[in-house]
Amino acid sequence: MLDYGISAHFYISSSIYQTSFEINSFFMKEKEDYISDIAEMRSMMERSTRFMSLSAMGVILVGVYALAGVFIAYQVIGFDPRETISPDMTNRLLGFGGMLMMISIITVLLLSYKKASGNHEKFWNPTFQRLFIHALIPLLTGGILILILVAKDLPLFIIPFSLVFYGLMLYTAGKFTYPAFQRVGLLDIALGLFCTYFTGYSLGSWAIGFGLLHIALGLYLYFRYER
Amino acid sequence: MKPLIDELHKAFESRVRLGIMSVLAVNDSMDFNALKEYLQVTDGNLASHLKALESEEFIGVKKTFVGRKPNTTYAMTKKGKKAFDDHLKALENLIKLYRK
Repeated sequence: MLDYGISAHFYISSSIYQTSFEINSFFMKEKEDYISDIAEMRSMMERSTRFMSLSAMGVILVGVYALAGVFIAYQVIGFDPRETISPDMTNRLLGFGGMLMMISIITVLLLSYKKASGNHEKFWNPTFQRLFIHALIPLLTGGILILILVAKDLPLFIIPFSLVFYGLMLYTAGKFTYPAFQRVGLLDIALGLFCTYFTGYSLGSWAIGFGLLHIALGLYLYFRYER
Repeated sequence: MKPLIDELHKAFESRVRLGIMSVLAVNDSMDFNALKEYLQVTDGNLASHLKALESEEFIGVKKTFVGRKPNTTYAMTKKGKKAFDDHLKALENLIKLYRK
């Protein structure tokens, strides 16, 4: 580009070159700044609308508990959705299911609390409050519906409905935390509807929906966001 | 090339101000303490940046009381929204220019 021969144009062309070089280097210096500006803005928008401190390890553990729970329900408690379910069996199943849910919730909350403090974030912040309120509504609806099923002696539908309403909860929660929750929510809803019709497959569907899908979701979140 | 740089608003040169505007762009309103938490800045620092954005009329301030404690919430004005969108567009255009 630079002409070393002495000519009348030399000074002009070199000065033009100089100018364009200066503009260029000015741009180059700022380029990284602009990109990091945009990255910063995006992360700020995300952090202020979505709760990003939900622990991936917690989600994986919930899946592991669920698989263990299915095993215990089938082998130890002797629950089989293909046979008639006695009221006594329903009660034991409800008690065991409730315990499993409590342990799962406590695990996720504790690990998320730890993650939030690691991120220098308050746990009970506006994004968590929003997530909490929106997740609570489908979950409470499902919970009350299941108690009504028990009262009306329809235990066959407890497991399918728990999948459907949990799926609805995940789908809603996906707007207030990781978007991947929505896809898993849709799969849980599909599984729940499937085993509402084919009730014999309900325990297997539950193992997939609450066990395998949680583990898959947790692994995805871990590799995507935490590593 | 020069006009593109001119489109980048002076008020957004600071990271903190850009952060405030980003948060307010996606939230209807946000109180002082929540903003402080997201941006990880001191009270004084945040207050001076908020004041600057306020004097540009990019953000509006609402003072209310929660019980006896004063609570100040901030929201983006129409003017601020437009300036922010233009700034974002200008940034994106600049980056596109480099990719060529």
